[in-house]
Amino acid sequence: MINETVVDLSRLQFALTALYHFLFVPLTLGLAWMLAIMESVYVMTGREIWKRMTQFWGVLFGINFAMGVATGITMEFQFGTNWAYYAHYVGDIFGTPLAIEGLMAFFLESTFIGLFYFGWDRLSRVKHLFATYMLALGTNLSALWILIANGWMQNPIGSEFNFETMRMEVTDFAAVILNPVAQAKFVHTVSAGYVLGAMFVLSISAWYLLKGRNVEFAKRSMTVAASFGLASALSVVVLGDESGYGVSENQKMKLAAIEAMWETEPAPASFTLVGFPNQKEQRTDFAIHIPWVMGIIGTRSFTETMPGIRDLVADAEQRIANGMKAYAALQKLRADRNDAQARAEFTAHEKDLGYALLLKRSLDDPASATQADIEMAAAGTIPNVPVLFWSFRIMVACGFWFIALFAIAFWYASRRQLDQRRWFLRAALWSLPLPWIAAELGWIVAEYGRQPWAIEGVLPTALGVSTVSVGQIATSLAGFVIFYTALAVVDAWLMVRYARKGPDGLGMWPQTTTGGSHA
Amino acid sequence: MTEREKTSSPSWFRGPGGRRFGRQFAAIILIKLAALILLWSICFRPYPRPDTAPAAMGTHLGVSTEKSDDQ
Repeated sequence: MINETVVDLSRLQFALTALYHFLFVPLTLGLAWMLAIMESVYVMTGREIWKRMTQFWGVLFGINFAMGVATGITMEFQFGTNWAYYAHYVGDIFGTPLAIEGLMAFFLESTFIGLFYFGWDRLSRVKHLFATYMLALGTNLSALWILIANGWMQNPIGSEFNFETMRMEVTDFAAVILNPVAQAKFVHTVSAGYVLGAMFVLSISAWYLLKGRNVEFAKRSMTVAASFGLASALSVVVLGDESGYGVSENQKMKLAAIEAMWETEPAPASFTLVGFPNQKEQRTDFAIHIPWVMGIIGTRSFTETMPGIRDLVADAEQRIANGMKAYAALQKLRADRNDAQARAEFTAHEKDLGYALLLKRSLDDPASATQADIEMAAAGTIPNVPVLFWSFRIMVACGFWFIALFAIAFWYASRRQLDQRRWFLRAALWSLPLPWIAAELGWIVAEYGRQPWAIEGVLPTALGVSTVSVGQIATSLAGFVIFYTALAVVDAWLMVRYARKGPDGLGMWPQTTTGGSHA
Repeated sequence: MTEREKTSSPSWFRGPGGRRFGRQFAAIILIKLAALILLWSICFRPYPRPDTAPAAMGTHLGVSTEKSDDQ
């Protein structure tokens, strides 16, 4: 029988490390392109201030890079230690993009970050600019391969189950790479990173303007952040809509949970603006609905219905029953691989095998499940509705706030009034944590909403966990918490220290241009 | 390099502040790698590797009665 405490602790450990890792990733993604933009202006105009801007924001980029690098490796530790059965079951597909990410993108990024810092006086301007673009490209390619792996977990295509090796294997690698869910997630995620990078520059620059320090430096930085941030904030909403459309096609339960849509509504379904989902009673209290909106967003039509949670649970019951047939046929095939009848039965119901595995949570032998067992397993396909409902709404609200803030910044930048609107500078400063909150909530929606599946419809999370003890996981979890807490403290201290010093305190600007000295 | 490029001021990263930053940058990564190795040695290395041979997976998923020899 599955040890639920081991499952929960393994999930908690992975969630903590993933959420911590993603504090660094989006800033790297966004700031890298902003460095490339600033340096492009330097190369085109030859103005020293743009070079110093690139170098100053490059210092903060470096702190983030140094603190963030290798925080993702611990997740790969866990695939081998806490998630060994998961790693075996889907490693043939999932491992490939991870390996490509390590071999190609990460080395590209790591190589060019060296050239970025140490190549200023050794490379020509154009060659150094090329290195900066390669650095930005490397960080984004890293994200691409990771999100191809993650996209396959949400929409497992291009693969099939091999009963002889007892694992999923690739049948069409191009389909895995070109998975529409992965592509939508990639552009949505990197856009969110661009917003975060832009907000980082906007907020710190606003602080300099409020303090009356580094005024020319900060105004130019804010102008870049406003332009890049506005384009990115608009993109992230549009691309998020595309990502949501993908969810409506292959993760209907996740979408229904995000909307707390308990019943199937007539097309086009309404959007629940706010409300208080009551999972126990399966209803949403004090809900405010906006007619038609959800149907249009989710199906891009006026006539297509969106299934509610109760209908999806009924559908899951049917798929579990089908999966039990595949499971019984698999047992026969394991005993005799030449059993043609069993092979035909297995092929007919193979796509629902994962649903039968949901029964393993409460039964040793899913083939012996009663109707009550099936109903209980089907009810377990409902994720935590209130968490998804609110996480999604807070994330979306942040997204619209970013559009408004960057639009105002763009307006003031174009009128050269950025340093004259203190209310706006304060709003920009206090908005600094919001992109991180939105990004983390986005991952909570994506991954918590996938439960109870590790691989949607293929492998229940509980079956991916290694046969380890509670004590072993508790020890490693404690180790990670101590390690990451220490890192977080050092990171915050370094980032605040360098940001407070600013280009003037670090001797970058304006001293270096006036006297030619290099303090 | 062109004449214009040569007249540009030297990189901040080659000055004292930049060198200090470079040292901190390298130290953070090295300390972190050392901490990760320590963490691995204490929390993970002592424990046996889970058996994921096909027979063991069959047993894990309950579809096979045969036992893995590796377990």
